[in-house]
Amino acid sequence: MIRQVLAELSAAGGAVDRRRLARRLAISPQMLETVLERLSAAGYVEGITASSAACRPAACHECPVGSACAGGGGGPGQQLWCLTEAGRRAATAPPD
Amino acid sequence: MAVSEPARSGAAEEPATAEIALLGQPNVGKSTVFNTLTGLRQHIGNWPGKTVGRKEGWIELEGRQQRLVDLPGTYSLTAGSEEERIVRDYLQHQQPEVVVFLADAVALERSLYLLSEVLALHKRVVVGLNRMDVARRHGIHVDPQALAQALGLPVVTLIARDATGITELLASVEALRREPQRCQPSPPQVRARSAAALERIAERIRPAAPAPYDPRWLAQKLLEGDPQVRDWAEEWLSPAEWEALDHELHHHEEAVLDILGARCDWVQSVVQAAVERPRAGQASWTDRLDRVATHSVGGPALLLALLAGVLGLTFQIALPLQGWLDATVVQPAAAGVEALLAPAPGWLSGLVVDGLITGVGTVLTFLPILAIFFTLMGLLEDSGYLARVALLLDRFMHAVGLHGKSALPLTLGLGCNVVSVVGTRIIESRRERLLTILLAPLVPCSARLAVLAVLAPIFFGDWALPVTLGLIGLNLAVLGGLGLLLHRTAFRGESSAFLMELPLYQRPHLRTTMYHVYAHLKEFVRKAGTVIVVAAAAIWALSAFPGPGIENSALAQLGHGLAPLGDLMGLDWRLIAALLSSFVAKEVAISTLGILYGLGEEAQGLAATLPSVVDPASGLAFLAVTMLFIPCMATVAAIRQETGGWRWPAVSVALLLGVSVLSGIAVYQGALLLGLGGGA
Repeated sequence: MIRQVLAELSAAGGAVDRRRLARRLAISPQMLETVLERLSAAGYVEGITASSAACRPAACHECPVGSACAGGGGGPGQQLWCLTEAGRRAATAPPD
Repeated sequence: MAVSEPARSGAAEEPATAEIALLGQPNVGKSTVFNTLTGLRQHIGNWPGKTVGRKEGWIELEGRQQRLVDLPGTYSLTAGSEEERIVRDYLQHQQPEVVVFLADAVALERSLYLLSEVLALHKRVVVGLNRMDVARRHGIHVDPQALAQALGLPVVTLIARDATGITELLASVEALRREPQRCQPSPPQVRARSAAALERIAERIRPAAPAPYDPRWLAQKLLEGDPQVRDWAEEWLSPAEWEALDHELHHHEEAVLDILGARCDWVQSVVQAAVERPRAGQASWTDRLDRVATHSVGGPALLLALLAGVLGLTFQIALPLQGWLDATVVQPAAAGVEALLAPAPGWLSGLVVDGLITGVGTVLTFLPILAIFFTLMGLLEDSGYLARVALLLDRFMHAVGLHGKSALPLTLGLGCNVVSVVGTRIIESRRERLLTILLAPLVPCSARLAVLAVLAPIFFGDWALPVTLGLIGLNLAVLGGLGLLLHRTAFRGESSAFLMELPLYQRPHLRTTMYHVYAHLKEFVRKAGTVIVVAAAAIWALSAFPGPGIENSALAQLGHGLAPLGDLMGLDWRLIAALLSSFVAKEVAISTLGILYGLGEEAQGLAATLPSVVDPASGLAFLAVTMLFIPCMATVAAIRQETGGWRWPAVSVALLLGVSVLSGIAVYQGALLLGLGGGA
């Protein structure tokens, strides 16, 4: 499952919806979140908070792209995930 | 609340201490359970040598007082935090008689992951399944009996906040003390290809590992890259042994994926056996709609249709209102004030009437257009649809090869380019960050879209909709083309995807939508009352002095100086002045046009005047250049702040000036070829 998540992220041509990926892998969104947290701790994916670097946290509800921004409308603290260099290597590495 | 027991066989290990430990992830209700179990019989201190608080208390089990230790909340047992180190050290060194593991019935997966790590260190575990009431409310059904069977551990269901299940939990702990064989867990198994490496590493460390450390656990942690265990191994082994071990670890650096994967697969198998989640109707609707909204062809087609609908409705409803406001408010106000100021010096009357009322008033008459536009966009946003637009835009940017982290801030630029520029802070590489900053002003921000929504119907009447859509397309094409060019040349980063959460579709809330409209209009009026007032006054002054007449003004002289370039784009000096003034803020272009085309005896307001003096080819070129023109002042300031100097703001201005002028020339010449010139 964990390698599948890396492979899906590597193969995707752009943003991927978490719920849809979970469904494709036949796991719950909570399971996918757990996998991502563990992959992040191991340095294979990286969590990014879209809004924290760019905006005043309190201003999300006033932001013209509040729900359209890559934060998905979850407001400050919403996490996005992307592959790290190690994640990209692992996703494309042939099986042992 | 029920106690569920697994099938039994064999025996479990003997405890070293007669302590009971309470363990779980943060916010799982551990403190509530601890307080309920111990009452006032608590002691609060710190873990030895640590700053993390340690709570212990006393509970009565089978008539005897027993110590209960509340372990710090943690999500895993890798030495990433002090809490994680405390928990695993405690389990290995203290070896409590029973561990009470609190799991969250609402998010069982995360709890079970921690449990999979706990079981590698301790087998005598009672699982307290807390928040059963919340799970039920969410329609999540956890079968405790199935969970107990899948885990091989006793499971007690709990609602900790009202102490439901606490008696059964204590009874289960007592039962486990009497009959340790009640626990027969089957922990995760690492898959074969890494299991062999695991065994070899365990054998290397076994002779040196002191009690109570299990060599297999140490080997797992070494393969996971656990910093504390690496330090221990380096300390315990000779330099040659450590070097050989380190070499082997390096050779199997991806075995960590098999170890993590084994735990996740184990969690998944347990969840599959014991948890049923409903498929909400709302989620199904979202899924069905998203099949079109996020489809690679259907998605852009739907976006185009919705955008056309929004703009079409805006033009249909708001334009008559705009004309009415202009005719019944601005022009009578200007005439009234002009009459009032008749005795005052001519320059004062000119400033107030021709500068402020005509300039700012022109901008304010467009409030209905913006109100309708932002209401419709607000409805789309509140429904959850606009998040799909972000996803489509992100895909587009990946399609032209932009690095994933570049696509993210560029998407933010849909709202405001300043946010986009500041958002590039998430990009570590300075080179990629600079290149993203250069592209950011090309994303059509809401201010530029507002200018387009106002001016397109004035220039093109019934053709405003296709022209507007075409110009947004041109903007995206230039962004894509430049992105592709930079990606092929200086911008050779890997392109990777983002995982994002798309919200469920919902019926828009009127209140939220109205707040959205209010926030936008407030910002627009604030700008009109500050930046645009000052800019309008300055533009009027530049257009009135030294005179006599506007054709002899400083602004006209500047415009005439740029006439050779303007001629190539079909822009007269007034349109060039409007473009230049948009540097202050994009909306200032409207007030400038209002002032420059609103002067004179026969002035009838911008909407009536412009189509009669600007031909369609020039209007099209003007709008194309506006959409691609140099960033506004606030964006330039943000670029300076983010790059720490004036060099990159200058590059950005020069780049966009070149791109916009070339595009303007191409659009104008193309429009002439299509016979759109000279119709004014």
